[in-house]
Amino acid sequence: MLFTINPNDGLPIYRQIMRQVKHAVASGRLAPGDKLPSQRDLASELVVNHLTVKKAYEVLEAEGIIATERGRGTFVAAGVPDDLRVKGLRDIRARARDLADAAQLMDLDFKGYRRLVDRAWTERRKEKGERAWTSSNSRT
Amino acid sequence: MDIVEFENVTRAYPKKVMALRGVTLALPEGTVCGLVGRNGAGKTTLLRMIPALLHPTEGVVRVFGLDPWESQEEVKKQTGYLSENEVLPNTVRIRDMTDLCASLYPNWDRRMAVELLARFGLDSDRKLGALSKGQKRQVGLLCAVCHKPRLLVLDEPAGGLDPVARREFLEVVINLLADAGSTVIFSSHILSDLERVAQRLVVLHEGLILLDRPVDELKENVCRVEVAGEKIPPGARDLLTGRKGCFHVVQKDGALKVTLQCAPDEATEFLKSLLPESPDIRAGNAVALSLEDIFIELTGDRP
Repeated sequence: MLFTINPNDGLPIYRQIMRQVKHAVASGRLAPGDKLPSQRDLASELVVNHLTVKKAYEVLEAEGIIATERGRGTFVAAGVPDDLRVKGLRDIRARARDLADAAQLMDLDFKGYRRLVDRAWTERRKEKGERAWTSSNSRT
Repeated sequence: MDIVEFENVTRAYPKKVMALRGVTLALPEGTVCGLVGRNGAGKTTLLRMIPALLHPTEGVVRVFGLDPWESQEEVKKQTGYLSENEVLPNTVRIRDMTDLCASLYPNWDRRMAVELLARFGLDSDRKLGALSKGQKRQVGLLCAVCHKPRLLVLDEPAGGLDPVARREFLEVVINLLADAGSTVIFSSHILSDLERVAQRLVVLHEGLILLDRPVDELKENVCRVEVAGEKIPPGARDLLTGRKGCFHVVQKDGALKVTLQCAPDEATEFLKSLLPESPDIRAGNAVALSLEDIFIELTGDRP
């Protein structure tokens, strides 16, 4: 899989790496038993300190998402994806609540709020080169 | 063991200019420390004391547990240093420069030097005077790293480098770290580069350390929030300014924008603890900040 790092993201780099592994596992792009790049290879690919990758792998391992087999490498652990998907959805729900808070703070009505959400969805899809999807009541 | 130690170090220049006003800092072996600060904050003064290029006015500097002036040979042998304005003799060829380094440092790695020259696209027959500013910087970097020093001191290594050269430079430092486990202290204005290599961020401001924190912790525990107009308690701005854990407060367009030292989801609780008289206060729009934002909030409009 392809990792990317964005220093403008509020998340520390090790968390960005963790998030990408978790999302890949939750969505099935990484399956149990799949091999992850070695810490050293990933560090030089991303141009980050190898200790940062080490930290990400250690936390992921402590959370039971990956497992290191001595001499063989690091693999996606068996039996985690369902749990991760539940956690991922919970995370999105929390962010949706934050977004609703922010919109209400700005006195936006539901229509205006929906328009923003729809537009963000479409723009992100386009940026990622996927087929744009627009909801039926979107004005864009 | 601490590889570099500063204890209450001050440095005065003529006309009573105080470049450092009491700096205490310790770098354990293997630490990668990024030093940031606005122009004139004292970064170069601090770094030049490590390889015994500048005496402290007061206080103690120790490198590998030694006084860098008394044990110059011992210290310099194990230290790689790239100065801010590298002065390289113009009439000398790159080859002469690397040969000189090879004769000075017992650990000089010739193969690494050849590899780096190729990577930087430098022809070792060229004279230093014929190189661009960025290329001179690359030669300076090469001389600083090819003896695989235990301690690497880099003063604005990225100055004058284009983005590609900067990335190459980062790769060189990152590989050196993985191979040799060196301790590194470097100053830079490019915080996104710094974040890739440094575990620790030290902010120097007017000769004092304003902040010294692990990079990850800073990113996780600093956020900016907004308190909407009608929820702002009277006098909140003055009550918050200068408080511990509160980096920056502005009141703009009827909203109060506060930069807090806490995780985004703890912002409301934290604000309440700072303003116990206002239990209804609510932090909206909590966002985590990039290192650059944090730096600007910290040093931007201080007197």
